Amino acid sequence: MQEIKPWHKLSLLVIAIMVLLKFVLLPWQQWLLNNAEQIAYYKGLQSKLQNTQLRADTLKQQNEVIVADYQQLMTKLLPASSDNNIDVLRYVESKAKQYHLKINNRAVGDLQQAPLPALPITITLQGHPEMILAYLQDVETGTPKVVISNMSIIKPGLSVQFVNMRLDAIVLLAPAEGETAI
Amino acid sequence: MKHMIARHFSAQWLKDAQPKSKRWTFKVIYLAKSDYVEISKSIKANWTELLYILKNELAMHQLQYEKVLWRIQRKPDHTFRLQFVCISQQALQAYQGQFVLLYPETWLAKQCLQPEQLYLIDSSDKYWAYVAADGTAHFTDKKGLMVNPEHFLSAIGATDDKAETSAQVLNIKQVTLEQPILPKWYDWAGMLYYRAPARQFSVTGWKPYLLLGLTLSVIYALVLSAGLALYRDHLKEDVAQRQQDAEVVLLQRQKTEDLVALVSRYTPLLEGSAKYSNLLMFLSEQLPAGTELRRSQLNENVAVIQGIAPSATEVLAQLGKSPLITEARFDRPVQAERDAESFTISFIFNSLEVKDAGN
Repeated sequence: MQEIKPWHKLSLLVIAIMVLLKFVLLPWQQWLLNNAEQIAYYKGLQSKLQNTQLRADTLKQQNEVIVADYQQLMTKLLPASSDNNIDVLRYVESKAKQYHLKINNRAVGDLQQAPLPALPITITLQGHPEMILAYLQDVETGTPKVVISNMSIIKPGLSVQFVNMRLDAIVLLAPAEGETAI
Repeated sequence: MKHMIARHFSAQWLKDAQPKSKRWTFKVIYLAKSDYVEISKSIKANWTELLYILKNELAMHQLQYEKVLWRIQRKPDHTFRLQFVCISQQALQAYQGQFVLLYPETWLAKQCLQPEQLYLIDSSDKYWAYVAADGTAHFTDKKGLMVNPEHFLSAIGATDDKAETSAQVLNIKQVTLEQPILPKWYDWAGMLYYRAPARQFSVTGWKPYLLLGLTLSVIYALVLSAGLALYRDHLKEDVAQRQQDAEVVLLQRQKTEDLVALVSRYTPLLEGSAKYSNLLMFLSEQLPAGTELRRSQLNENVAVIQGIAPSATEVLAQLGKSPLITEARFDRPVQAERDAESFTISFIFNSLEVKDAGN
């Protein structure tokens, strides 16, 4: 068997070093660089997201205020349902009865969605002027919210003590479920 | 005593290399007179000052020499004699790494001499030695004028008529070979010597260092890799959690914005409350007495009233005074009707705007 000479050893050492470089050191170095890049990326993201909690707290406070406003609003609106026409008619009739007014004519239109969900209503009443005024005040400030768009009051004769009032109004409805989820 | 010295101490001259003994012995090294420089100082001081002077003198001599031996002698006149022996590094190179007691030849010789007796010391160099009655030792090389002992004795202030004939020859090496001579115990402190051996890097033993280096490198690489991976994973989890939180916040923000939009759509309608009843209240309070309305109409802000009054002009003037009303005018010509006037007036009713401006 041939004896291993010193230059053989040196050659083997050089080969071993090159193999080590190629298959161990360089891949490891690449892995380190990739890791360093990832760490820099994550640190950048982390600093961007640093104030999330602070913003969440501020937003929570704002949300509480707006939810309170929303709930206050909902108390003034008629909940949307398939029986809204009947509910509206019952409401105006009960109010007319309360102020001793006679309903000459009443009609509820089709549900409108824009700009807000509402039911149009036209109503003609007859009664004493003071009762008409009280009725009007009650309807305008009461619940559900009735927004009058046109009002006409006519006194049918000089000697009569009553007037006829025609109202064109809309009754505001609450938004449908799902449109706004708190 | 002699037996104990022989058992535990070995003595040799500095330049006489001796094979190492198997048994450990404390070495006493005799220094030939040519191996060192001797300096003496007489000092009158107390013990504290003496120690301070000794420290300074040692520091000064050690700047030039490898080792400075010292000893203190108290003289009968209550002064001190400080003796220093300065030795170069080359002289002591062979004794690195071991404790030895260095004993200068002149100090050794003095221990063997009788006072007031002239000696010719036979060592590597021949020189005269004389110990005065007060214990002061004098040594001079036997060279030049000093070949004659009378000159030596005259120089040191001693007289001996038979000096040459009475001079005793002392072979100091022979004496020490017969029996090792140790210095006085109280002089040992200044005569001990130790120097750590110089470490030398051996290029032949590189394999352990290579293995150690490789092992340390692998451990470093593993620790670095593990640390990086753990830190990256930790960051990744943290960022994922924060992103999740941010999405929740974003969703919540979207819901809030939707609510705000919804509420803001309803708000104008809700605020425009009681405008029509306000108009009726206003007319009933503001119109002049005797005015009777036959027809009142309000569409948005535009109002039209029709009726009879004693003076239609007064009605228009009254309406024009009110800050709630603008652009009041007759829509039709005023007609006389019996003892009154029939009128139709239109105007813009600004109840809400005026109320808001007031707030």
